[in-house]
Amino acid sequence: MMRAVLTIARRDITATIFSKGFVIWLAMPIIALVFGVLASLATERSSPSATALAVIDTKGDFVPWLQKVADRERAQDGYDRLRRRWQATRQNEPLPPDLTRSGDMLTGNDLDRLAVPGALDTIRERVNLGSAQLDKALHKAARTSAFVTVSPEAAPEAQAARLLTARDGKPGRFGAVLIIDDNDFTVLRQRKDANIDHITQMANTAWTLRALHLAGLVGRIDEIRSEQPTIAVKNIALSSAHNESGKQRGAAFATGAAMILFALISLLAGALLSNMVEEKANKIIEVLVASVPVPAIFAGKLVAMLTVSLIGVAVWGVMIGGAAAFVIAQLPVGLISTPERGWTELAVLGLAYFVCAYLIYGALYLGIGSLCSSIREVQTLSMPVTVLQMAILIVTLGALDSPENTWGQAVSWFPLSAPYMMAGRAALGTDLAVHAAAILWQLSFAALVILGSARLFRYGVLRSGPPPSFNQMFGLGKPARPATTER
Amino acid sequence: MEYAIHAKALAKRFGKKTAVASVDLKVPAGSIHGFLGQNGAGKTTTLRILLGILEPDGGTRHILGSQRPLSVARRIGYLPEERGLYPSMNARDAIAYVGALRGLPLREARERAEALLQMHGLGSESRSKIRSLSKGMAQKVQLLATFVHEPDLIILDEPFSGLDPVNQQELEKIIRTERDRGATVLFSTHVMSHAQSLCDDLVIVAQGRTRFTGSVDAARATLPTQVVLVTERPIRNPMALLPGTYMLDDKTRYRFPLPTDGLEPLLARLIETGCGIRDMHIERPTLHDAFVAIVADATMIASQATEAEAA
Repeated sequence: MMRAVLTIARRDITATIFSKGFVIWLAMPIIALVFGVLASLATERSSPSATALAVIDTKGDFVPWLQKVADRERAQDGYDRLRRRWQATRQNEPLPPDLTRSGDMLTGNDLDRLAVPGALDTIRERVNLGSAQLDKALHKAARTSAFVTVSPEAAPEAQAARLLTARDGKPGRFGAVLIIDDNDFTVLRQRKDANIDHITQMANTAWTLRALHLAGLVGRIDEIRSEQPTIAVKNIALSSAHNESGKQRGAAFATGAAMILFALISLLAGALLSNMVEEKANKIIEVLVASVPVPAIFAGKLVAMLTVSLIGVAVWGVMIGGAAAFVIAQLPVGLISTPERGWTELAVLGLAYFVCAYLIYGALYLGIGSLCSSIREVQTLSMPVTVLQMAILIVTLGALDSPENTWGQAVSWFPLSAPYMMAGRAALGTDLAVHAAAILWQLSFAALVILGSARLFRYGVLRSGPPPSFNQMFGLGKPARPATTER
Repeated sequence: MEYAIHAKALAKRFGKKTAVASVDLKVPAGSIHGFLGQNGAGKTTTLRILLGILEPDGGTRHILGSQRPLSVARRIGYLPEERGLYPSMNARDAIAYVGALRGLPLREARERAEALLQMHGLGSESRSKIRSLSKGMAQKVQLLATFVHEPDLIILDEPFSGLDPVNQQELEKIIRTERDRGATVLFSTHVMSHAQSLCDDLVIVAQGRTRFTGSVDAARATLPTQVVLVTERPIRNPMALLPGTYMLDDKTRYRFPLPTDGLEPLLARLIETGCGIRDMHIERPTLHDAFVAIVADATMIASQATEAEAA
């Protein structure tokens, strides 16, 4: 029997993994990723960039102040970003001295120091807040000027109009032009709806800065601001049981685990059904049934699809895991939290629940598949199971909020929801002994489903004889008619 | 006598429909046995019961000495009526796969498959996908898959259907070769010429029951020897002169059973009528004649039984 199982499984595995469909199936995450990247690139390109600004300074003495404001804005933006990252990842740790003051409390001198290229990178490395890749946008912004200074002509407004309009009448490369003539500031824009708030704000700040400088007040203001006390924030450590953020993270893991399991099972169930229908369409099933016991065919097909799915999961795991490892390496320490029981244990438990879910649902689908002779029949018959599966997933996701209460326990041990629920609970850090018991229970139930489905399969593959009764399906009673009787 | 198949009173119902009412089958080991019947007579269902694909509702079956056909599956080769192979497999692997299912180690199964393909003129197609083969070639591949593990019992369901005359002849040769190797061959057909030329013994089923068991000669002997008469002029009142006669294509050609008192008295009577005898010869009934008569008989009995039941 085992030999027959392996022979059937080997053929099915070979036929599946050397098919074009399998290669596409395997490449699905890459295809999705490539499409995602392309779509985001396309969106980035098509989205209108921030209003490009040209500055015409008739006297030429205002632009340096404008430049200073732009540099300080950028420095404060980068500084705030680092601060927010620290707060997101090291919630219970006090801010390091480099990041103690909030951005709006920094003095002009502070911002000027931070605006020096590489200054923020030095802080990020010093406080261990991830790789430079994370601040790519910031670096890009640092290389791009906030505005373009254009040499003034005799008629600045006519010059501005030319800058705003291309030769063919279409919008030119600038969205707005700021004309500075002593204390007269004029902004010309292409469209009424072009946002010029930032431009006017920059101009106003630059004017104030210049005015304060001319009045000799800049040093004094910086002095006063540097004396401003920082507001101390102290965190009270909570026990892990009441740690809301920890709970939230755990719930996210649990939901993720249950969803991944559901997606994989749904994907594989479809493949299993198609395989079965193809078998019947090819008429090879009669040769198989005449050669080996029906349960061996059934088991062979289950083993084959399980192997194929494990190959798929392994390949995806390596691809997605590799990509995730690369991304995580760029992230600050602590941003991606580790599940309570660690990644390895979670992966092993996830795999175990995947196998359980696969065996339960795979056997169900295979039994259904044996009753169908066309894809249309498959769709009709598998719909109730899919709906049931969806309902179970929804119930499971709801129950994951309170896994320890009666409802949570019921969902944890109800065989059809148990694999999803327990995969979720594995992420929440339930005791290993509970998982061992759950896996044992699920495997026992899977054996029962396989037994029943194999009987259904026997009836279904040749569509002969009355359908087996419930007792016959699970071997609980005598067959309705004796297999062999003397007359 | 040792029987490869010994089935008694096999019965199978599908819902309210009786597919097989009572079929007896004794196939001596090492023989070629025909299993004849009209379409829907219950041949395929019986073969499926013999193979263990279906469980009978009644009766007993012993296949190669076992009541459980699957326990001797490795010693059985089966060609189903509805042919089927995996289209994406190549010819060699398709044969080897069936061999492996029947217990051959895969490597040996592949070697045998290769040899069989060479032997039967398909060596060049060994690595061709089934989907690229012609229907006849694919059918031949499946046939070879039936023999690859050198089974003791070969069951072929309508093996000649879909084959051209050349391949039909080759299949007959293969069946004889297998018998000479020592295998028992049971094949179902409704083409009498194959049964007549191949079978040592045969069984005729009709209306789900065994109606005849015996040799081809015995089947033919179930009908009396016929006399065919051709005259110059129509015979007046032929039924009185030639009991059991029926006219063939016109009023001067007659066919009737050989009279029990011989031909001489009949000849004398015919000469008296002055009909002018142009030709008269004796014809032994063919298997076809016997089959038609047996099936017609069974159908009549069945309809009488139905009428009686209704009454």
